[in-house]
Amino acid sequence: MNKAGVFIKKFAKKKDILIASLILISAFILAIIFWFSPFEGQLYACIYIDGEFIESIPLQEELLQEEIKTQYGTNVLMILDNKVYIKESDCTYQQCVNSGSISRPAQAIVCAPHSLVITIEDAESVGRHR
Amino acid sequence: MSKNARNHTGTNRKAAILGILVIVFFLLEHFLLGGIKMTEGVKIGLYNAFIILAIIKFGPKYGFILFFLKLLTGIVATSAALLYPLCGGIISVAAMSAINSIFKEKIGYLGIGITGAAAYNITVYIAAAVSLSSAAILYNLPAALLLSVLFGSVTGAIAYLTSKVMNLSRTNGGKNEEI
Repeated sequence: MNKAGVFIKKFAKKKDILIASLILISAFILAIIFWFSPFEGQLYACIYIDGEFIESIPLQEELLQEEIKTQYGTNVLMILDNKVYIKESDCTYQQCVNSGSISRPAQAIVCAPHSLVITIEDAESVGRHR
Repeated sequence: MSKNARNHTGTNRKAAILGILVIVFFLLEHFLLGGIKMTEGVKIGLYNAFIILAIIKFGPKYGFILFFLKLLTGIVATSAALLYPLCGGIISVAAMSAINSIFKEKIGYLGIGITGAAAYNITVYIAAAVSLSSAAILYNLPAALLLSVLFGSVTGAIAYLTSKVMNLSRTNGGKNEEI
């Protein structure tokens, strides 16, 4: 057996392939549940701070800018083309700014230093907060 | 010097080399690859290759020591957040150690690497969902699991190649068995 063959035989054993397959199948099932569930109707950007629901903003085509000020700092939320994103933040890691935009139900933007979570929810889900 | 004392010194010296490699690779990844945007919170974790090697060669104790060394480096050098890496790292090292001791020579570097990466990411996502009281954070978990398989394979391959370079072999009941 050549060197590459020996490497593959010793590196990837049957149990290794089994573990990789189980994780890939789990990812596939979760993706179907989270990513491909159908939705219709008006969607909202829901803002949570410290796990508490603060407000919901309907997604829209036109540009909308909103400043979210908390005791932890400030995030600037933008809505455009039915998508939500964080334009600016004074947080440490800027992960919320780098997350990009979200537009599907259950998607979220997280700003851990500001304890801020923005999720996309449908009207029924928003109604439960009121 | 007795044979036992010599073995102990050799183990500590090789573990120290792995410790240095953990710090170097953690800092290299942070400063050179830190700008790459990926699914939220998911990193390659190249340093994990040497933690894998420490677990396989020297046992779980050394795996945890190297992990805490990496955590300390993160706090001092990069002001990294503590809670999520702490939870993820402890569960990851525990999972890799458990799977190594359960399957022994039936499992290789690939399976241990993937297990460690998946355990780390699942724990970080659950910790974030709990601490921020939002299940919506789990939305990216499928992507994180896919990346776990990819990055776990990379760290497993690095661990395997390093074991060859450092001439390390797997411990098996006091005897050394090449894997």
